Amino acid sequence: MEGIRLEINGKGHVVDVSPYKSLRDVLRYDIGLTGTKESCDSGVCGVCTVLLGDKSVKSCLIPVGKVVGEKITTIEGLAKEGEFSVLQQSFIDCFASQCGYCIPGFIMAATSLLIENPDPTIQEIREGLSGNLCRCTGYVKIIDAVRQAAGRGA
Amino acid sequence: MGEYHVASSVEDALEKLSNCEGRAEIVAGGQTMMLLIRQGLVDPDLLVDISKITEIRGIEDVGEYIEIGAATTYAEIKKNPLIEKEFGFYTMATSEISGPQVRNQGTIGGGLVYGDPALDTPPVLLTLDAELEIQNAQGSRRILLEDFFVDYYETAIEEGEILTKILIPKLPKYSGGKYRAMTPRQGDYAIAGVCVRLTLDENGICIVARLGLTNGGDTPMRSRGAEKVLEGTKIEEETIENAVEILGKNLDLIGDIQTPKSYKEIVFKRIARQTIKDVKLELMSDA
Repeated sequence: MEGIRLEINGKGHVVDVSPYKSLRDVLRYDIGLTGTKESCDSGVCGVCTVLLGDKSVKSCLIPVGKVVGEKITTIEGLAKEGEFSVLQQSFIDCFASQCGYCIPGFIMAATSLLIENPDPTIQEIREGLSGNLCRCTGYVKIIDAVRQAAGRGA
Repeated sequence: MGEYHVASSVEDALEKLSNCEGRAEIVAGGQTMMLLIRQGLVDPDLLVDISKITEIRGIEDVGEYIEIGAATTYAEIKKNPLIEKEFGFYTMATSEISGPQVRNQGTIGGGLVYGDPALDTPPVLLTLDAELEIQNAQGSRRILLEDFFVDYYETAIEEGEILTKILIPKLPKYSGGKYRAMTPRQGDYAIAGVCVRLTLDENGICIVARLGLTNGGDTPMRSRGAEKVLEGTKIEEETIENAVEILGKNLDLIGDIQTPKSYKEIVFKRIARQTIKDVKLELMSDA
């Protein structure tokens, strides 16, 4: 058994797991990156969102065998040298988090959105975040935060 | 422990499938397969991943048809200018599919092979008279999408076959369409969804009507009865009412605690009525 080789946040990992195990479970339970959350287990809520390359995906719906050779980015990979990413800082500045559980997923989805569309309209932000659920904020401050980060790099 | 094989070509995938002694399954984006595995409905010994096969990815104009490789993602379809130009309402309907994350992974082929009646875009493809190309060890075969859907989660694909292409005939002039769905929240499964495609002649007579339904029965389906009522007419108010009544009779609904059958039927009829009117109006204003 050679194990499955993964590249997560720029760092190589080898895990000895079934290739059908979800990427989310591997991140959380085999690698210990618990910033990627779990909730609905069925691709609805978006709390497990990570990036494959520049694209957001729901890691509960990705068999880990699929992502060999891909660059995986989780919420832990956004801050550089102790500095939050522009989006992370915007979420803090705009008070966009209440209980906070959904926020890593939102930030990953928004990061992908801003890579593809650096200056989205409110409507484009709403659509770009439509794969993520928040049960506290009512979304207004989340959208404010993405709007504030827009045009300043994800 | 199961094996995961990333296929390099259709031939490679077919060979791998036929050589497997246990249970082999095909996976593309994984957005349905992972749910089936988690629910214990599928327990494969081998997963053959076809998502990286370049010959079944991409969108091409081949004259009479637009050809879409089965492993093309919804995100790629949504932003493709060729699809938007030929079938703008199909582009619009892809926005209804879950959210960006699922569209980044989910493929057009994966959305068809299970025959899931709850998905938004298979009924749109039904209204476009789409055809499928399926490959097996002997070669390839073509089938109308309509004949592909057999029963609940049952399609005409056989073991050892791979859906490779979706072919959509270009629309004649004076054609238009629209998909409308009612969902609890954006990205949720539709309570009811209706796609209407109409083609008129130069006198404004409807020569082709297609009505595709999401969650109207056991499979993605058409309301042939309603189509017949509309064809050959100028689609006056009374004709629309007759068509909507017949559409209501074609439904094979299952009620649930939040949305009983009677309610769903009302929603279907209301959406169908409005959508037929919208498409007619759009075609009239273009003419």
